[in-house]
Amino acid sequence: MNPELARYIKRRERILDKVRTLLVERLHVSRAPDEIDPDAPLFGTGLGLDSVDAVELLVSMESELGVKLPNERLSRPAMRTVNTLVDLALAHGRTDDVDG
Amino acid sequence: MSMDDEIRALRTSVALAAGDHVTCLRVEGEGAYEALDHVVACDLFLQDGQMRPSLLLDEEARPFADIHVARDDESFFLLAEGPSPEALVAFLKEHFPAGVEATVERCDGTLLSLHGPYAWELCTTVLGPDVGSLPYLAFYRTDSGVFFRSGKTGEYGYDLLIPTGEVDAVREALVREGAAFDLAHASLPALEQCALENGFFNIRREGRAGLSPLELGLQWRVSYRKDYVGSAALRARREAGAKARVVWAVSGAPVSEGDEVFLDDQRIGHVLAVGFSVIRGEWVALLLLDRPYAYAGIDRYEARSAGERRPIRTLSAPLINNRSLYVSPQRHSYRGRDESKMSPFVLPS
Repeated sequence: MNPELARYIKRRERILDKVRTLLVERLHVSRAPDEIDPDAPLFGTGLGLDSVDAVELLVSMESELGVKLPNERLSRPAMRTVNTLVDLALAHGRTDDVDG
Repeated sequence: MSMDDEIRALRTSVALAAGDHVTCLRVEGEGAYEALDHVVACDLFLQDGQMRPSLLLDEEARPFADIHVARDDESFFLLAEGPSPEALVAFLKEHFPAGVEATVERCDGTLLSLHGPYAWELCTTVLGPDVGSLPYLAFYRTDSGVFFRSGKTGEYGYDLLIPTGEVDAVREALVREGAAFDLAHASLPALEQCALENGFFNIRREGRAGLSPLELGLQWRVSYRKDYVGSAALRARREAGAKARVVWAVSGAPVSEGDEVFLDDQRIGHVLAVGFSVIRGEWVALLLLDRPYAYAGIDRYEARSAGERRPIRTLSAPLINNRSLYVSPQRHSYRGRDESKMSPFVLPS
């Protein structure tokens, strides 16, 4: 595999793991991390989050992954699935967490 | 009306569809909960009036039916896609535990469905505010029908179970009042294209590929805490580890189902489902990729067919920035919409 692609996949997998851990430990999603599929919906009966959890999720994304939303308009599309959160962290998260 | 026009209407206003592809069953009796809990793959923790998406699996943990299960007091509605009504009833009766008192009947009525960012407004106009304001994954029952708020397009969606004797009148009212909403009729292929664009599972396509919820990314629809049809096989597959996983992708060139996917000269998967997105202006596809390569955000893969190489780019679903995310029944209306202030359907990635 091309080294650049291997690096990207490693970074993505690392952030995915962090988001899964955050969902289990901070948002109390009652699933094992490996049960949380990358494209699982966050709200409704996906992982069962609600509007109160949305606030906690944003706070946790900032404290754990350094994600600062550049504008509120990005929050809705970014908070649809686990993978959209990973995209958000890759685009707007802490570089050290991303590159680690 | 072309399918492209049907999809444009569904994404911007309201579309009306027939519900022939959905079977509605009612499960009743003292043992209704116990019977269903033994066959439905999710935990049945539902309050009266709530519904949730799940699956019926076969003994090999492959999807048999794509379902919404809804609790109506001590009884349940089952809205199912995939098998014929007869096969569905036979499956349930075969797998209900012996000695449990539960009856399965087809619902009395005809299903219609409404989809679109302003479907709630047309529902309110024709069927009343109790229907239009239903929260997602809830239902409401009256003498004039049962109204489910669900949908698989990423837009506001309603499944309307109307007594068969009244369905013509309700359809006529929806069409008449729908004129003010530029209502369109949506075919099943249009609904399926919208489902693909939004990352919804399709039992008629990827659901027939012999995959389990592990590869299909549907573990959120199943429980590992109880026993049901297919649960033992699913646990065994989980312990063995999934070798592949679905990933969404886009391409500027035509891609076909069955095309092989390559990274350089290494075959890493194939195309499970594909369709042209008139909203994105490109092809959208569902890929099944070997696990080490199954990630979003990669533009180095190619789909190959008959010697042709077509670059594809993997993305996180949903692939549409749905207007229903931004349209609020408290603040908006179709008549007062301002296209210039709408978010774009495709956000930069």
